[in-house]
Amino acid sequence: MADARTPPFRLNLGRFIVYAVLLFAVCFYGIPLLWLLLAGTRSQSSLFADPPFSIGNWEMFLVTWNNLTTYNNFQIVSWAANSAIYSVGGVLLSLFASIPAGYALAASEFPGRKLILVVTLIAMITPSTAVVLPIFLEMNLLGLNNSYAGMILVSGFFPFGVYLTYVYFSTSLPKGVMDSARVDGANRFELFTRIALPLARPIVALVAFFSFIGIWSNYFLAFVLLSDDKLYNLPVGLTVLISTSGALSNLPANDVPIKKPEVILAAILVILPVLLIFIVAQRFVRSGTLSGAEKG
Amino acid sequence: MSSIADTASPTVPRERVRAAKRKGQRDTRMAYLLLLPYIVLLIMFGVFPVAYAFGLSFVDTIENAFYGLANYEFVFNDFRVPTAAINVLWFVVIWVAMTMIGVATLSLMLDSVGRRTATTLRTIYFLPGAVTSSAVVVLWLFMLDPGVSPFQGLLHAAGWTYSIDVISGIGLAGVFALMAYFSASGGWIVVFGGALSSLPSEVLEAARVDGANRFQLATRIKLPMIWRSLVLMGILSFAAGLQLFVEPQLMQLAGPQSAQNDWSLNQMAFQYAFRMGDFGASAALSTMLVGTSIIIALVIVFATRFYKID
Amino acid sequence: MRILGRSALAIGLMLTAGTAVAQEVTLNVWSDPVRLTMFDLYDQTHDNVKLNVTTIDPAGLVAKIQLGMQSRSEVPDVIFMNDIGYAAQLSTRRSNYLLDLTGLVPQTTLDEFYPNANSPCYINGKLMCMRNDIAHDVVWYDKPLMESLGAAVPTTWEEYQALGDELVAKGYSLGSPMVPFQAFLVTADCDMVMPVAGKDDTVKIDLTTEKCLKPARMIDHMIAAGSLSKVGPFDPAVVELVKAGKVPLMIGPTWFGEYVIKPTYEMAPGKLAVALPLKWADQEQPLTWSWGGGVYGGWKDTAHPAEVADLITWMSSDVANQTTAVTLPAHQPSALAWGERLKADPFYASPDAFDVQVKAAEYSHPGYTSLRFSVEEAIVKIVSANIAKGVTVEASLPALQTELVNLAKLNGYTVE
Repeated sequence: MADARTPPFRLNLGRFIVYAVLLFAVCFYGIPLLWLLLAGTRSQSSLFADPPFSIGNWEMFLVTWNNLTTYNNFQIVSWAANSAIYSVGGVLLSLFASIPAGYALAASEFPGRKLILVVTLIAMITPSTAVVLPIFLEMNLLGLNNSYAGMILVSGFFPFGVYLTYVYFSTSLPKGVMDSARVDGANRFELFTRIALPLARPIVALVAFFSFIGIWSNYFLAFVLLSDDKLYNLPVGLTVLISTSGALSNLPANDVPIKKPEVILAAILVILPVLLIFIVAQRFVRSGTLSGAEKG
Repeated sequence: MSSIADTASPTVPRERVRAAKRKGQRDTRMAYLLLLPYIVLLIMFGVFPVAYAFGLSFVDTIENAFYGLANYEFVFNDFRVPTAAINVLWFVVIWVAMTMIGVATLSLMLDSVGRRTATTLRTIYFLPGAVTSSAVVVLWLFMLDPGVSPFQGLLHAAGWTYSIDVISGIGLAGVFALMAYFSASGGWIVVFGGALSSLPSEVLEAARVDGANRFQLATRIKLPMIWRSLVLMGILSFAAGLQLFVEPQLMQLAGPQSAQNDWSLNQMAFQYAFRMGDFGASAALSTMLVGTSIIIALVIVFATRFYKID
Repeated sequence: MRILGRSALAIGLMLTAGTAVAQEVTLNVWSDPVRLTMFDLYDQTHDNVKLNVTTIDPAGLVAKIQLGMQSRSEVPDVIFMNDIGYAAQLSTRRSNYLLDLTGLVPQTTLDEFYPNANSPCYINGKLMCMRNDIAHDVVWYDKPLMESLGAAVPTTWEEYQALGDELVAKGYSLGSPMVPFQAFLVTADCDMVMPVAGKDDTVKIDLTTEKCLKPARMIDHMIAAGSLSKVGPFDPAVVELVKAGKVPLMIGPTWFGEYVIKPTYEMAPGKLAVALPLKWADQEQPLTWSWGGGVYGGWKDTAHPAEVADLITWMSSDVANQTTAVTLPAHQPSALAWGERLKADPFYASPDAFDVQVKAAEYSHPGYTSLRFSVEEAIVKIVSANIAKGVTVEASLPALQTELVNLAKLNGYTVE
């Protein structure tokens, strides 16, 4: 008869390896982030001269903050607002489109199912350099380029979300529950709203989250579709600023007060909403179990 | 799976066949109703652009006339293509390996520790993915320079004094793979976190009761159960790797001494379109890239019966 | 009575408003943030033209114009290009964007520019743009430090190499050669993608001659000796070296003083001086390359070519406007007015810092033209990468030649 408890030595080694690897990963991912955070308080010359983890001072941070936010009449605030609009709109649209789609693809067989899955995959793996021109022309034709509606519409197309949902429902849609509900007389739509949707909280959170990240940090599409600097989102606006000020390349000679510390601070500001939303989404992703839904 | 019998046989009453057919039709109608918003978007931003780009690859963009395979010829005659192809190949090998092994290992390990710890760690692993492109450049400018990097101990130990030594030593493919892994792996770890947490706990309990230790639980039980997510990650990482663009392109933000503007194939496609204005040649190169990705993806999908409903 | 008066006033206003609107021309301008104030100034001082200015990432300018040309909308009337190479990229058969300014700009104005300042704008003999600022390489040095070291400021490259050897022995060095790299390599009139006069789209590429090998050997000697660094001037290693006072002399463009030496290298006031660019002993006068300088261009299909030409001319040559510019203007009268600022600046060791820069403009390399591809990128790809591995510049020249010839042919040039 096997001993239910493993001998202490083996247990410690296993746990040790796990924790060692996880700690190593923390160093790999975390040290650069820590550096970034601390670097936001330092001055440009301190970045070169002082040890990597030295902390700047409060005055330095305030100067950097000032330079960044007040530039061109608080332009960064309007970029952030635009980013928020595109993100909220885009996330809502992508959820509305992707969740039902993923469910439908996972729930039953129907003609055209494989085709849609394959086309979705192809859309996902086509490089954006190729599709950017046709999308640009298309939006132009519809009069939607350089507009909030256009950006939101394009952001709503989230094939990855469809695949995530498809995989999720494929693994976690309990056949037993579906069949028992059908026996109870529920029609297909009720199946979706009464059984699948409540189960879908984790995947809704996951898809919403990834959709948000994709839209919030999207540069290329925004760069192509937006020519009015009042509509720029954060990535595009910041790139214009950084590229022109020569903060990183040191090339363009000018008096724009955006140098490396401002770039770093901008980066930190862009990460913060992501961090917040991530923490919120985490609670929903922790899914409930399926036990108890199925009887006999 | 329900199958629709076309003809009624003497042993199957007609009503049953008709009922089955109606059920199938209702299934289909329901499915398409649910799929409608997505299909509209798919046509607008998936089918149309891909078809347009494909068609454009056969067109001469100056005269707007049919050009045959001339664009493809132009791409093949570009002396930078073989080098770029090798660069990308190296990158894909390193990057896909790093991603599959790294993400799977870390995800399974996270799933075996306490919930609080796992959530905190997952947040740390994920945050790098939120760092925008310009900040990524600053980050790596400093991380890879033995003069100012927090990792300078390691870098000096390897005998490197300047950032060019580091890059020369690791190789550009390795550096880009590192940068890409740093940004993208966190997202996948979150996806796998979701996938692992939604595994039916009865199965896991049963295995534990049967005496499976951590390692066996992870490799023999959990890993096979998340195979779909693994396949998806493999396909997407491979395709994304072939299309490497962001990391080498970002280098130019760091100034002319760091620029690598035609290192990868996708960068060359970008140059054709946005520097030379030759959208036809760009479409040709993109089509070839996509074609390769599709073939590999389809092979994997059909070999693993990814589309099958369990 | 009052009502009548008011309606008369109203009608009068409407009439004048009507005529004003009829004459007013709107131009779409894509600018970088630095030139915004200059465009605004034009807008305010010219009532007949209204400018609709958008701030664009200069690195993405060509990409956006390519897109705009495809859809024939969203095309600006006037642009500022911060990389002179864009002028060539936007005047090819395929990307035919730029307006030919030949004849639209008065010759008297063109004559007021420094020699060769507008050479990047002449493409196949036609004036396709106008130069905003010049950025040729000069010699920057720390006057007190040089004196305390007993070192003379060199006037030839041979003296420069000897100075390097002398300084290394004492623990000093001469900074970075990547300002840009091409600048060092073309000083002896090397044929590194030089346009051939009289032949359209033809360039000469020959890196096998002594004209190219001589500077290459000098760089190799100095890198091996340690008097020149293997990395660029903004690499933390070089920055720290200069800040520590270990670099008494360096080569750099005209904007180095205000925008690198002052802020990044943090040199103390009263020390910085400028000397003329160097020449080889067998040259009559120096030949100096440039690092930067922006240009203005217009759209060939604009509805208002005269106004476009006027705006471009004004931006680059209006003295009052350019006096407030950030870098040395290419237009002589503007530059002289601009230079008054530098003369009064106590940061420089002597008040003639500006005069030296202006004199050096006479030695600008005529081959500094707009090309459809970047030579410096090719140099980085091949030579800089080799330097990291310990291969000499001289040994890298054949590979560089192959790369340049291939790139030229790819971009539609005929190579001699």
